[in-house]
Parts: sequence; C-alpha cells; structure tokens
Amino acid sequence: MPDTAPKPALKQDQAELVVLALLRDEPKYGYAISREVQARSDGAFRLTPGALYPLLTRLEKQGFVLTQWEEVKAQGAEPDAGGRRRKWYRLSAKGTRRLDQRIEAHRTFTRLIDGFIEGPAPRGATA
Amino acid sequence: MMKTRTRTPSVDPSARDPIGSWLDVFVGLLDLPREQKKTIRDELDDHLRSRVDDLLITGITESEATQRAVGELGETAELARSFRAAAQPHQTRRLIMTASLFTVIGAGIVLGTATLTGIQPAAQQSHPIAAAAHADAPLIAIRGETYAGLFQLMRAQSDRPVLVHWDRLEEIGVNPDTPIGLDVDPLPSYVVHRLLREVTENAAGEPLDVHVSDELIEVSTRSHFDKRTREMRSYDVRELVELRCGIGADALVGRGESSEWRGAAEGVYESIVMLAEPDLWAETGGDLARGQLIGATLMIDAPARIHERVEAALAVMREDADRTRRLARQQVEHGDIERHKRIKEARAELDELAARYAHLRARCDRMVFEHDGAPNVDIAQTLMAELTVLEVERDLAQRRVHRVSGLIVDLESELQKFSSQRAHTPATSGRGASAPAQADLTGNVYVRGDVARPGVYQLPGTGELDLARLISAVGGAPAGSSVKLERPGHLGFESLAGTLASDMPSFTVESGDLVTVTAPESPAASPNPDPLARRLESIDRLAESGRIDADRAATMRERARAQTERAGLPGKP
Repeated sequence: MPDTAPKPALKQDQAELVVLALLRDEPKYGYAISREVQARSDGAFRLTPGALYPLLTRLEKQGFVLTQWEEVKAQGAEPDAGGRRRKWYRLSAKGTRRLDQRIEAHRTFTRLIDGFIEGPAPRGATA
Repeated sequence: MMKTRTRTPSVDPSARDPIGSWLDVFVGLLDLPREQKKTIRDELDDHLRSRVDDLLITGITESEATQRAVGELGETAELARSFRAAAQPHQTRRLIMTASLFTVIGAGIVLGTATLTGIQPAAQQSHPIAAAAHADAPLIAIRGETYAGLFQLMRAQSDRPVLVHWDRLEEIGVNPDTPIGLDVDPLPSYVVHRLLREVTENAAGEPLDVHVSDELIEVSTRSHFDKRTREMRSYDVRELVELRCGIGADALVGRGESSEWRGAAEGVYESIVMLAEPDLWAETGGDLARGQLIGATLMIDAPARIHERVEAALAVMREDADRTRRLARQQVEHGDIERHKRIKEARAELDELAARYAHLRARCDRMVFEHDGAPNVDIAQTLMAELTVLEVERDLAQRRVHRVSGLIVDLESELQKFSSQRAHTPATSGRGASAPAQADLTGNVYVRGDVARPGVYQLPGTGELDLARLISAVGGAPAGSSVKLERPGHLGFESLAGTLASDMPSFTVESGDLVTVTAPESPAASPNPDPLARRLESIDRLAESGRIDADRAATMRERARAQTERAGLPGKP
C-alpha cells in the first residue's frame, strides 16, 4: 500500500538552513535542491516549489547566494535549437557566515530541547 | 474550518506545449515587472521539465507526468502570492530608493522627509505626541528568549492584555518555541518592537508587527494588520495641483478638465506614491494600495500604515508648497520695489525732458518769428539752418518724452496687475476660487501715447467716464489722433475699439482699460523733413497760441514761401 500520508513541510528557518547547507558543497539549481532535500531525508521532508523558489529569491536578494544562468538543451535536440534556461545557485561568503549562525542556533535549540527531554520538567507556561 | 481555495489551473494535455501554456497563465497572475516575471517563468519552466523527465522514467505517460509536475507546485494563487512576497524589495532598499527619489521632488521635501523616514519607525520617533506616549514605555531585556517567552514578558510588564495571533505567525515560521535570535539589554518596548520587525523580516521575509493601543497589545503579521486596516480615505490635493499649474495661471479656468490640470494632479499623485512605500502600489505592481483622482480629490484604498505615510508625504509637500509660495511672493514684492524706483526715476527724467521739449519748441517758434523779420537772405538762411537743427533736437526730445511716458505706464500697469493678483491669491492656500488673472479691480485706467499727461488715472467713484472726457482729462490729443482701447478679459486683453471714429467718445471707460493715443503725424514716427512745412507749422502754432494775429500769420506764410523760393530750398507752394 503506497504511503499517502502528507510529508511535513519545512518551516521557514529550517528550510533556509537546509538549502544553505546543500549549497555549501557545490552549486545547485532549484530542481536539484528540491530533489536532494527529498532524497537525503528519505522522503521525510518536503520543500515544495512554492516554498523553495521564493526562498531562493530572498536569499539571493539578501546576498547569501550568488546566481548564474545556463542554457540547457533537451536530449536529442538539434544543435542549433534553443534550449531552456537554468539558474544555478552557489553560496556567497555572507551566506557561509549565515549558515554558520543558523547551525549554531539550531544546535542551541536542539540542546535546549534535549535538556527538556532528559532533565526535569521545566516550570512556567508559554503565552 | 473548511477553507475555499483556488486550485491550480489544470494543464491542457491537448496543447502543443502544455507546460508553456500553464506558465503563460501563471505568470499572468504575478502582477510583477516583466523582467521578474520572465525570471520566474524560466526557472519554473526548468523545474517542471526536469520533473517531467524524472517522472517519465517511472513509466507514466508524458501527459500524466506533466499533470503531476504542475500539481506538485501547489495552489496557483498561493504560489503567486509567495513569489510576489519574495520579489518585493527589502525594507532597506525601499528606503534607499525613496531617498533617491526625493532628489527629484525638491530640496524642501528632501529635508522634510529625511527627518520622517531616516530611522524607523518614523512616525513614532518624530511625532511629539507619540514621543510623549513612549516616555514611560516599559523596558524589556531579551536573553535567549523564545517568542512565547518574549510575549509573556510583555504581558507581565504591561497593564494590558497581549493578544498573539499564533496562527498568523506560524505562516511565517514563527512558533511559540522559536528562538528570537536577539540578545539586548533593557530597552523601551517600542524599540524592542522595531527590532522584532527587523529580525522577523530578515528571517521570514515578512515582519511581525506589534500594535499597541490603550486597551490591548496585539501581535500578528504585517500582512494580517494590513488586511484588517485597509480602508478608503480621501485627500484634498487642490493646492498642490494649483501650485504645479502655476499660481494664477489660465489653467485654473475650467479646472479639472484641462490637460494641464490633469497632468499636474497626476504628478502630485505620482509623488505621493513614490514617497509612501512605492512598491506596494498597484501602479508599481504591488497589490496593497491603489488610488484614483477625482478632480482635486485623491481617493486612496490602502492599509492604515500606508495612509500614515501618505499623510506624512502630503504634509511635507504642503510645507514645501507654502515655502515656494512665500518665496514667490517675496520676489514679487522685491520686484515692486524695483518698479517703484524705476517709475520715480522715469518721472524725474520725464519732467526734465518735458521742460526741454517745451523750451526747444518755444525757441523754434521764436526763430521762425526772427527768420520772418530777417533783414537779408543770408541771415534768413543762417537762421533757417539753426532752426533745422533745433527742430530735430525738439523732435528727439518729444520722442523721448513719449518713450519715457510709455515706460511709466507699463511699470504702473505691472504694479497694478501683481497687486491685484496678490489680493486674490490666498496667503498659504490656493483652495479658494480665483478671479480672472488679469482683472483690475482697483478702478484705474491707463493712458499712454500722444497725450500731454500719460499715466494711470483713477476712475471717479460715483459717475461714469467716457473716452472723450478721459482724453480731455489727460490734456487732450492732437486732432485726428487714433485711440485704441484695450480691455482685460478672461482670455487676456481684448481690443474693443480701433481707430478713433466719430462715435468713439460714446464708449464708457471701465476699470483696467488701457488707452493708447496715436497722433496722426506723430513727430515720434517721422519728423517732417520739409523746412518750409516745418516753418508753416510753427506759424500755425504761433497763431493758435495768440501770439500773432491772423493777418500777421498770413503775411509770415507769404514771406516764408517767397524766401524759400528765392533760396532755392524745396517747398510746396
């Protein structure tokens, strides 16, 4: 029986962390990022195009990623036939610093959560 | 609760290029500049075709793969909204863009608006009432807080309830347990609110907003507040439009209909858009604010924060308009002083010239008399030569009298005109109806040309004055003179009378009329070159003045003719 349960969508800050981490090693284009998120989470995470591309646009505007266009031709296309355009993303120096901050914040958060799990139950309530 | 949502437009499998067709529909919904639309289209095109290629490997048909790839994009409206939100300029860039636009608007606006928008939130920092309200704002320190912790702190330090719209905040990735990522020493709450806006905008692309009222502190997303506070307001932009048209310009006649008025009004609207978050307006591809001009009223449908900016922009523009108007008035007043000075100088010169002209004219007449009694031809010819020189000098003097008197009339006319305009131009506002620009309501008429006393004359307060009496009052005009009467109207001066005719005196003179008298053979136009004719004219004047009787005048004319014939000088019999 196929798995039809909805996959959890990444929250904004989590999605940013994931995308920046994926771009740390090598440049990638949008669909490749989307595919890799799914592949590396064994299909647990879903980063829809509606969330991914606006996020990439924002990261580009904030200077965290740099972009470059490439012309891609379909397999078997004529040599002089026009191809489609593909946008590649790579991490900037500013983006690398941003990624480090994100990782640190995530680890702090996880450590705090772990503290709750492992330690005594905290007092107080949220607003 | 069930939500009604718009599904993704279905892909038409029969289309030659179903993905291209779907993208055409999608980018049509984006409401963004063409270049941005193209970028988004190209990237989605690559995504969809890459996805279809992957799906085809699983063995499904191309049509099915396309349907599925497009379906994975999610709801079209939501997708378009995400792209629009991401494509909007960052707040800092907006400020820079706005600041650069100020240079176009004018120095007054540059200074005024820099004060308003240099540091956010503008209204809170520059408005004295707001500043007073913040004087006792509670201090809040943030150390490793989550959002829930912060809001609990705000509630503890405030005497008002705190309402947090968590459902809205979660849409931008803010949950109760999300760390704020901000460590600050105790700061006034409004500063903390500002920092929160910046932090959330940087992290989530949309700022979290805190609205503080007397009853409640409310936290939600900016878009939520924008939606809730959106309303239509009207703004009177008449005075700004009138200033652009030019004070007292003819464009004021038939306002609201002339293209000049319309252009000026649109210019004002454009300035407002540029000064109030320009990228949010429909004109620039935004969807938060839109405006419509109805005559001199600007109707704006926008969230409250945009209205605040519109009001701030209008205040600065009105202040600048007042300053411009004051400057223009000062320049006119300075011009008045100059005109008064020049009139005084011209009057002194006119007196001098008139005296000289009278002296020369008397000398010429005397010389004719002496010439007439000359003992021999030689003396007569010498006298005649001297007379010729004198007459030329006399004619030149008369010409200068005319020129200077004309100058005086023109200067006084200008003075009256500007004085009249000022009297009908409000000091700080152009909202009132304006009188025809050149109407003279001071009861003056202007007389110039070949009259003894050209100048500005006050009409009698009670009775009417006809043209004949006016000419008489200014010292009369030479027989056969032509009189031109010009009357100011809505379309400028209208010439109401041409050359003097027998019925001319029946014309009633009105306030503001300009009367120009031209003698039939004005010396100013061409001095008579014939010495005999000039002598005969002098004899006529002597006779008219009563200095010689008619017999004596007849004798002198005979002699003049005889002497001219003897001397071989040209002359008509």
